[in-house]
Amino acid sequence: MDTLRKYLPILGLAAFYVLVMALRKAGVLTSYYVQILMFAMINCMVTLGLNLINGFTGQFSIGQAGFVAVGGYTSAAVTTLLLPSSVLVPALRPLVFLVSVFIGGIVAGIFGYLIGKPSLRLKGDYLAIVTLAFGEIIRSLIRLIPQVGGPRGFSGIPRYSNLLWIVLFFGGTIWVLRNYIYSSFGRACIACREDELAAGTMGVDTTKYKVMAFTIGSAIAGVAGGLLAHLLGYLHPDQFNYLKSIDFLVYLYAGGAGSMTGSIMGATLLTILPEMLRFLSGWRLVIYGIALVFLMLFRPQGIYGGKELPFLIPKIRRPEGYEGGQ
Amino acid sequence: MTTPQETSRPILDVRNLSIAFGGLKAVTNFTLSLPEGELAGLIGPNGAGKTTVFNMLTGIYAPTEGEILFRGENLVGKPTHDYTIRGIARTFQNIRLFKNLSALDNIKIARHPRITYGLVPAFLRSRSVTETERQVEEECLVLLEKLNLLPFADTLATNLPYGIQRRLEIARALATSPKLLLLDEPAAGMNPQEVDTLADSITWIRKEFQVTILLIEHHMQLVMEICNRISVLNFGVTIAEGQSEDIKNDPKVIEAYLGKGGKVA
Amino acid sequence: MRETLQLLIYGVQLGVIYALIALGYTMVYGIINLINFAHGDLVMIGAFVAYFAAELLGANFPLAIFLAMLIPACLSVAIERLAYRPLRDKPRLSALITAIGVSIFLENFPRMLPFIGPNYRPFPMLIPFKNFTLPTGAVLNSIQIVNILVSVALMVALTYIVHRTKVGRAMRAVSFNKDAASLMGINVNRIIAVTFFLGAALAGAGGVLYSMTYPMIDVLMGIWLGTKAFIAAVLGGIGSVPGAMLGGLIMGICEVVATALYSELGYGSGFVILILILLFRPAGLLGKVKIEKV
Ligand SMILES: Nc1ncnc2c1ncn2[C@@H]1O[C@H](COP(=O)(O)OP(=O)(O)OP(=O)(O)O)[C@@H](O)[C@H]1O
Ligand SMILES: [Mg+2]
Repeated sequence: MDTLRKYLPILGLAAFYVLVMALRKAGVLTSYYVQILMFAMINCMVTLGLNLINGFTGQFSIGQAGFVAVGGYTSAAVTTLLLPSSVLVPALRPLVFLVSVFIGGIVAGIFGYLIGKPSLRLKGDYLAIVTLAFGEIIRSLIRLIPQVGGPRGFSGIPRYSNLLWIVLFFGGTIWVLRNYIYSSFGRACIACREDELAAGTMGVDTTKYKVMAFTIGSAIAGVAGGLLAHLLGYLHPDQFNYLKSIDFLVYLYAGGAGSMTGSIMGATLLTILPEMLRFLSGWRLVIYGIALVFLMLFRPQGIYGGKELPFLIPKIRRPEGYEGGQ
Repeated sequence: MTTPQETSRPILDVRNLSIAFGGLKAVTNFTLSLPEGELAGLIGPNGAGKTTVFNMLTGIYAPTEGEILFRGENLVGKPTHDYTIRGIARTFQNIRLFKNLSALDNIKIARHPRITYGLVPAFLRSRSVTETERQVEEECLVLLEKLNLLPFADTLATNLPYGIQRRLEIARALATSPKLLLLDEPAAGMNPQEVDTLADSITWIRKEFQVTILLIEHHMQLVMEICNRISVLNFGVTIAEGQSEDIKNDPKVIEAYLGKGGKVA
Repeated sequence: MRETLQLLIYGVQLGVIYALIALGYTMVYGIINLINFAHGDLVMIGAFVAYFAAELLGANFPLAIFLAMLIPACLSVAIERLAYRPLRDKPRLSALITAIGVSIFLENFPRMLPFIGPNYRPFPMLIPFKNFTLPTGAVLNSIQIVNILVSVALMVALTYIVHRTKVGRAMRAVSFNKDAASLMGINVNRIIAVTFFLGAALAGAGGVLYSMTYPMIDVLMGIWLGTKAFIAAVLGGIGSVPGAMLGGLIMGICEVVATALYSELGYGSGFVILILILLFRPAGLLGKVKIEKV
């Protein structure tokens, strides 16, 4: 029974993949819909990473698109400039892709660390502004690098991403983040959010955990960027301007900060909704704006704030006599 | 192993601790020596600088001058968490629990520095992590039980009655495995009956957890009853120090309290 | 030397506009801790109000700028009442998300209106254009003079209101401590509304002055203008009125100088300066770092 519960999420994800593929084959889903699903999952990943920083650690970062850009450009540079598909035997390509995505994540993480370390001593909204500024500076810097296309954009990136890869990374992100949040590390982060000063007196090195959350969140954004680059086949610095960062912020708080379920719901819903409203052409953004206001007025904590689906909370068996209210 | 000299060395030795906020000298030349196992009191009228002393003893405020020798090591200049890891724990005058977390999670966070698994195992939730987490859960539940808090283990701190919150905060401080426990007005807002129970709990805690305790309290009866020795602060200056009987009859102390129009000892 | 002075003139002219807009951010932040993302869009609305006032009513400069201040100000009060006030006791960031929602609405609704739409429009000449050559050789034009004079007058007026009037005292009290102010009999809701009103009025004026200088307006113009003004507010120390003025000037001058040096630098320069300043003064130039009392 327990083993079944443990593997249920994996089975669910596999079932989801099979279902989408089947519907695609049967012609129910067009490739356009599958594409949107893939975007939704990538957005989920970025939002989950941001949730670790803002939702669980209580910081306020709003420059997430910058880290997506770093990851995307880095991994694309690996597969396009360093090891272009033309010099690779086909069997090696997935491996190179995988490695490039991880490199993108690591480099974004390093950027996150370097930015987080000095700026996390700024309180609250000042941190937000610095992250926003760094995002914009990163974007300006990309414009200055001709090797990756500068202001014209980076084209010719091999389209290695597909539904399978994205589902795997999506599932992996959720799993790893869940494990982190329900570990001693995650509790330290949550303590920083709840009361930084009290956390310090509980022996939590608050700076360390804030920087750690920031680094991990940035790395996840970088991984998502790598997937995005190889899905689109093309990157442009303006894709990652601060309005894009605001999108992630909206996904996060609309879904409910501090809830992984919320991030997944928020990002998925708000990625798909504007696409559904496409027939309204220009009016869809008008409606999107109003919908956002009403959502917050009626559910200020977000769609799923403060709650979590059970499979995202690891169970710990209590000793006999202590089962209590669990 | 332990020579007589070492055992008599005080666990906490504070020398000439001073701090100023702008022009306000909140604490001046605070000196205190606590032998291991002591239960000492720190009293004084409102605004005397008692909480400020605690804030310096936990690294929250940086003293402008002075030394904090804890088990022989000067802690001044270290970050707050280092004070905790070395064995100083505290409660807050205005309760500062992690409000949106359960009582159990509050305690678990205090165990944080004692949990040693690495980041990678945590990401993968390896067997060692699950095992450690199970142990931590058990330890924390046992601690809650000891302090009669077990029924509240899964209640959010913010939903707990006031008295229980105070007790949970003490439990949380104890969960850091301290050598020195600083209690900031634990009796505030309690009725006389609760205060009686609290007095018993504090003496019990000292024995059970083998901690040295420094207690800030406005409730004179409580202080006089349980503390072996008392320091009195007024306007940041120590005006008296000694056994409770002497303090009670010290004219300077009486004046400090009467002068303020506050409570009389 | 002549060029430096010339650049300085451009910088100050741009800087005072940033400062006007930054004031709204800083006042709202100071009073309810909200980054009002919709503030930049009020700048745009101000510009459009002046545009229509001039094109349709044939309004002159004083009337156009008056309307361009009044209408966004009223709109801003309405937005506060409907979208922000209900969330005042809720998690702080939910109000931020509504502000983003309002901003998206304000940018996209006019786009869909047939008489506004998504295209750029040339902004009418509200005052006659005239060049004056200074003794040093630098050139100053009538628009620059009006910009600087109007901005300075508005800032002086605001400073007077904040420091010398009853409303201003109430504003400072509310921003210091809402509950205490309320206990002292101050109508907190009204004071917050006044703050939004004043901030938006300045934003509207900023929109007009900016459009006179760069006479092309569109519905998205408020985004970048707002962002830069916001950076100016942070750089000066958000919550501080003189800080916003100083920050605006610094931003304006830096942007002009950086663009003159290398055009690609113009955009990023403000951000770099912001970061440098925050690293050394974490609360901005004139902001105060609060020590938490335990
Ligand atoms: N962060 C701070 N900034 C400025 N002044 C402070 C700060 N912390 C404390 N003070 C001042 O230092 C003095 C001592 O305060 P403290 O809180 O230590 O008093 P206390 O003895 O604990 O009083 P009470 O019995 O009311 O708790 C007071 O005048 C207080 O206003
Ligand atoms: Mg106190």
